[in-house]
Amino acid sequence: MCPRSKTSHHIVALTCLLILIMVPITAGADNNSVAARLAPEALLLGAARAGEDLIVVGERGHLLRSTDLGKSWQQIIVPTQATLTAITFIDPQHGWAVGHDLTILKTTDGGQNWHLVHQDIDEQPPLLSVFFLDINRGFALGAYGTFLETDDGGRTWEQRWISEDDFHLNAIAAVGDHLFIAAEAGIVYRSDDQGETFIELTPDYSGSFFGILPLKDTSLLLFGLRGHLFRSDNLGENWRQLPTDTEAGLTTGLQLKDGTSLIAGLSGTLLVSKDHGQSYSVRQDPDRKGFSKLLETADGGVLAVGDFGVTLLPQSLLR
Amino acid sequence: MKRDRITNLLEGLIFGNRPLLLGFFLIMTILMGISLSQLRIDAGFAKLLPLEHEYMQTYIEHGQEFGGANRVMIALMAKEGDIFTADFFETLEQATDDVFFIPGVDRSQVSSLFTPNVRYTEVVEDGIAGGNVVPADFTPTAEGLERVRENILKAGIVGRLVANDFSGAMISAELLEIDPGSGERLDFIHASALLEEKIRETYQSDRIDVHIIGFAKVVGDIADGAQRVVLFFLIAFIITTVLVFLYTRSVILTLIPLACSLTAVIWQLGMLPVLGYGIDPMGLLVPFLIFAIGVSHAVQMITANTAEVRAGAQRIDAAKASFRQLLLPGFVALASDTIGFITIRLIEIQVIQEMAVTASLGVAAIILTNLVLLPILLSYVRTGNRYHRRVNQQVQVLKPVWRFFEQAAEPRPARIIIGVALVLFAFGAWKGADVKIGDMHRGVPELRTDSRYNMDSDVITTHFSIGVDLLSVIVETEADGCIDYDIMSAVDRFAWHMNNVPGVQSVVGLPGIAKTIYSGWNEGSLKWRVLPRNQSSMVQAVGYVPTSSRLLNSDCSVMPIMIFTEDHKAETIDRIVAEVKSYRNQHPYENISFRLATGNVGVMAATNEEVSAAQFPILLYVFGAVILLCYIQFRSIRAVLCIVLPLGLVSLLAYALMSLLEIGLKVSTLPVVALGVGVGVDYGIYIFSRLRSNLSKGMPLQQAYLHTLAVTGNGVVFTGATLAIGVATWIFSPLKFQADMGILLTFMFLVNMLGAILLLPALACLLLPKNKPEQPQP
Repeated sequence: MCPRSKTSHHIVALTCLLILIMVPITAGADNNSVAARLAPEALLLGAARAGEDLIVVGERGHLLRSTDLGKSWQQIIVPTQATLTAITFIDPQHGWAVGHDLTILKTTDGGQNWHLVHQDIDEQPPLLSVFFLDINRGFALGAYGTFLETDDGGRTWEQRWISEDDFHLNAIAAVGDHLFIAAEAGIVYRSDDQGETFIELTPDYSGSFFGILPLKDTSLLLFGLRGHLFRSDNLGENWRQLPTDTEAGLTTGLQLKDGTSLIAGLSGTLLVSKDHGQSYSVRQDPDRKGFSKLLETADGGVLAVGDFGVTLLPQSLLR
Repeated sequence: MKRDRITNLLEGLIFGNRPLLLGFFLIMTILMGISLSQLRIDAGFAKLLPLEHEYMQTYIEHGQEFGGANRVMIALMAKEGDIFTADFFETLEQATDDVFFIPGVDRSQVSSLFTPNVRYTEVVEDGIAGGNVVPADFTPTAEGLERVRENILKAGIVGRLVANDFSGAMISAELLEIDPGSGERLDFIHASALLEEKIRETYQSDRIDVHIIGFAKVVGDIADGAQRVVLFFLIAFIITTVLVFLYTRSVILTLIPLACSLTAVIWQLGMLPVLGYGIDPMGLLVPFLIFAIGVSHAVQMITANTAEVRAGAQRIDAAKASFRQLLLPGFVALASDTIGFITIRLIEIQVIQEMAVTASLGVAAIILTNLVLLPILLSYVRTGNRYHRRVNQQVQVLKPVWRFFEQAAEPRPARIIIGVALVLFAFGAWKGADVKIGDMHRGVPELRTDSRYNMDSDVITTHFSIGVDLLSVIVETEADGCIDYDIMSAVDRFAWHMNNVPGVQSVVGLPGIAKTIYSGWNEGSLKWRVLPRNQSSMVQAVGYVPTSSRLLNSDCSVMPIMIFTEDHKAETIDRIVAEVKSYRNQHPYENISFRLATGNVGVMAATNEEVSAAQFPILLYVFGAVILLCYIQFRSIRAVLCIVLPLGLVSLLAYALMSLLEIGLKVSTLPVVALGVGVGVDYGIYIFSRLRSNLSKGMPLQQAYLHTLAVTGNGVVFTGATLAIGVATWIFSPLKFQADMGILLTFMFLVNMLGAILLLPALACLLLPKNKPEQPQP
């Protein structure tokens, strides 16, 4: 046996020991995520910034942190192996990650340590998106109308229903003082009172919406299945469909500091607009990656996560 | 002495019934010749497997169901541009049709863009839609091709059936080892020839390149190479003949040893059909080796005979005398060879075991042809004065040479030789310890790296996301295991763990596919690419996967995890196998077992372990047998040391050579090491036997050795050099394993010869009791 694997045996032994010690304290510690060499190349779904640091999450409880603007990644072991779908930070210290099995993780030290604050594995729907208004109040939403809210920074969560339907709630975003939720079956919800109540909006489409991109001028873009892209300039009262020239599902959007807006999706689809989201042209990533989330780094780079793992998009693709 | 009585008895029997015996040999040879005409080349897949090995038990249990090892992949590559031309699609369609009708092809398993089992699915508003990638109404127009291009993308077959850069397309087919219709075993060589003729020759054009890989093709290419091997044997044979003639200076004395040796080869090959064997490409070296050993012994007999004739004996008396001198050492030497051959039976691989049996039969035949037939023939030979003059001339020419070598038996040079030997011994032990088990290079190990097959394989692996090196771990669990979340997720964690092992290129298994399908049912969303805990969702995800995908069996209790490896170097295989073993030890499940292994790398893993397990026992038995036989003959530990120590040194150096030349210890090279000992011991026994007989006449060692060199040494040097030149031609063989064998055998023949004429006398000088130089004759 080579020395490297001897070391790894020691690490395994040490980990086992730690787990044994920690079992009484942390429930389900034997479900800790496992360090994996290829974690940065495996399915990653969510990304967020904690100050200048970058944190991405994905399958098997993989959570990776970069302190060099996305050039290198260190895996952080978290107390779950559930697939994590989304992550948010309200300030450089406080962040939450959500995922399958109604899993919610919380950090208070900029993502270096994570605690399991919520989980329920009995055939429960996945959480798909998370949003915090401030350090205490936040929402985690997911499939079949799942809507969890907290008033104590995520220590406790309450389930409630925002509509009589139980459509998947795919994404949540703030446009000015308003909250928008992109849902299944062509539904969009809007809250004008910080999430106390939601009203239903219906753009003219029956397929699913996967994401919302608020633009700087309080316009917003709504996108989803089979290349469908809508724009509203009046908080969703009226919608206008924009041609996209793609049939791929659109999953995530991002407006850069310079005003360029990007919408990305499956099969390597990337839409780029230089006219403040009035029109988009298609760029095809040659590797046909499936994008799940785009994020602008502190130095203006574009970080992408998806079925390929995590990567910085080449500038050539964005021009 | 008892031994003399037996020799006398045999001498009487043999020389008293010469015509009768000649008749017997003639009839036997004719019969064997008739039998020989039935001999066919026989290459099967199962024969190459170490069937008793744990991994191969898995292979036998599940091989039929999950197959995969017998796949043939045909890539059509557009020389310019991409595949989206009418011409390319027409060619691909015709080629696909032709593949269907190649005998042995499992028609349900053929896939290409044009087969109905290749479908695409896409997520639409109300669920999933799908269809054939090339629709039934396909026309090769711009629109039609554009539609196919879209379907290809939707079907996710880029990298598998279509090149990553769209420069080519693949036809994949599975061959059945047993034809279900006729029940006959598949003739791989024939199938390979058909692929060449019906596919490559038909469709290769100035616009399209055809590349074919797969086990059948490997076997076919080896068989093609093997035909050229026959040419190499012919060259070796001619070289040997010329050299024997230069040595004997007589046509008749050239023909007799060659005829005797060929008789042994005919008998050996003739025995194969009788035993129900064919000749395997791997076993082709055996007849040549038999021939070589035959010539080597025959030359000893001729040399002894000539020496007697020169001393003034009548031809029949000369034949009898040489028979008496050589019967015992010849028999012991050949018995050692036989044992050397038999020990390689320890490798539980059928092709090796057949080789062991046929080679020992061949050596047994040599005992008859060279120790019985040859002296009889010699007793009829009348040699004229001109021959004697030529021989005398030769003796005079060689005298200074033998005087030079004789110094090896003098104390001071002897010490130098032994000193050098000790250094070599240390070097051999140091480098030899580095020898690697298995294969060290890219591509199919039997063929050269630049062979067409390995080039084809390179093209295909570069343009497609297809690994050619596959190790499948068979996961066995309870019925319907694949719809149980806990089981599937345990298998998934295993697959992911293996994916992270260095040397693993990719891992494909049912859990991974099920996740993708489940995501597909959820509008293709990546956030749903998980194994569903809900059983009905799991059923939906897994139900989409047909058993023909080879990812699960019919009751879903067995799922192979296909681990594609970056290469098949022994260290890569070892690392992956060790990781599988440690994972299953650390994660024991009551209802899940992870069984090694199928796939070509699984076979290599098993073979490597088999070779590694057999190598020391083989050497142990070979040396044990040699030591025992030498002791029985010479009744002296010192004698045994004189003979065996050089052999040990040569074996060690052979290992060092393999390590230096990056030749792995594998099925084709391990026997060579064992056989090398067998060949080497012949030299030692002949030399020592005559040396001792000279010593017992009261000669001092140096003089005794000089006399030995002039007769026996002459033969040893000659045969060592001749056989080395003969096998050296193999180095140019198109077959990698034959080239490797050629290098090793050349080395063995030469260095064993040097060991016998230099190290043996040096050891004798130090170890044997001294005769006084001026001892008066009693």
